Amino acid sequence: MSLTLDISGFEALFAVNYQALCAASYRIVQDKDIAEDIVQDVFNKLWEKRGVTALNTPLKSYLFQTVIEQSLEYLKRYRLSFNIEAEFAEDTLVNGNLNEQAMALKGVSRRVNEAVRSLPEVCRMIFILSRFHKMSYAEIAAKLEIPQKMVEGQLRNAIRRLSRFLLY
Amino acid sequence: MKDEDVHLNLLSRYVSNEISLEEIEELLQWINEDPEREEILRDFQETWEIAKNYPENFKVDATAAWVRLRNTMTEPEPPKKINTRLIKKWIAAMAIFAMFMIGLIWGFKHLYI
Repeated sequence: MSLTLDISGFEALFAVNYQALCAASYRIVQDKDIAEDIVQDVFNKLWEKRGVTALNTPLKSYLFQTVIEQSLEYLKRYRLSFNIEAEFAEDTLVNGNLNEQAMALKGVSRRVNEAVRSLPEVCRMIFILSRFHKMSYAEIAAKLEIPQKMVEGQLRNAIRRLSRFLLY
Repeated sequence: MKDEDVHLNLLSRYVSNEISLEEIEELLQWINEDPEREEILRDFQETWEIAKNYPENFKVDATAAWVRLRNTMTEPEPPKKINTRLIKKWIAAMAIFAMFMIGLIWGFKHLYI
C-alpha cells in the first residue's frame, strides 16, 4: 500500500495524533521541546517520502513506532551510554531518601509525574517501554541492548519504588 | 537473589503480562502462604494502574506546531499537466514513418526477388 496524502489529509493526521505522539516521546526523552522536535521530524520525513513509501502497518502504528524508535535513538546519540553500574549502586541507598521525597510531595498534584521522574534512567526507560508500549522483556532487552535478567530486575525495582512513592 | 526479590519478579511479570502459566501457580502458592502478600499484589496492581496517567497534564500546542512544520515542509508538487496534443502528433508521425518503412521494404523485396 503506497502512501498518497494531500496536504489537508496530512494536516488532519497531524492534528489528531500530535499530542499523543509527543506524550509518547516525552516519556522517553523527558523533555517536552525535544519530544516536539522529534515528532515534527518524523512527520516531516513522512511527508518527504509520501510518494514512495510503502507501509505494511497502519499509518498510526507506524507513526508511534517511529517516534519511539527516534526517541530511543536520541538518547543513545546525545547522552553518554546508560550508566548502568551507577544505577545498580544507587539501589542499595534507596529506601530512606525515597520516603522523604514521597512525604514532601504528599497532596501535591502530578505525583505520578514526580514518581516516574524520580526513577533512575534505565529503570524508568524499562518501565515506560513495558507499561506504555507493551513491549516484552525480550523486546526491551534487544532495544536497549541489555540482558533480559536486567530488564526483569529493573522493572521489579521500578514498580516497587513507584508503589512506595504513590501509595504511602 | 533474595527470596522476596524472586517473587516480586513474578509479581512484575504478572502485572506486565509477561508471566507463564507455571509461574502463575508458583506465584499463587507464594501469596497463599502469607496473607500480607496479597497486599503486595494489590499494591503492584494499583501502582501499575495509577501510572497509566503518566504524564499528567501534558499539553502541547498542535496548531502552533503545525505552522512550524508547514514552513519547513517542501511545497506539494502541482499536478503535472500532460500535453496530449504533442503526444498525439508524435504517434501520428511514427505511424506514417512506419508505413513508409514497410512500403520501402516491400518495394525492395519486389525488386530483388
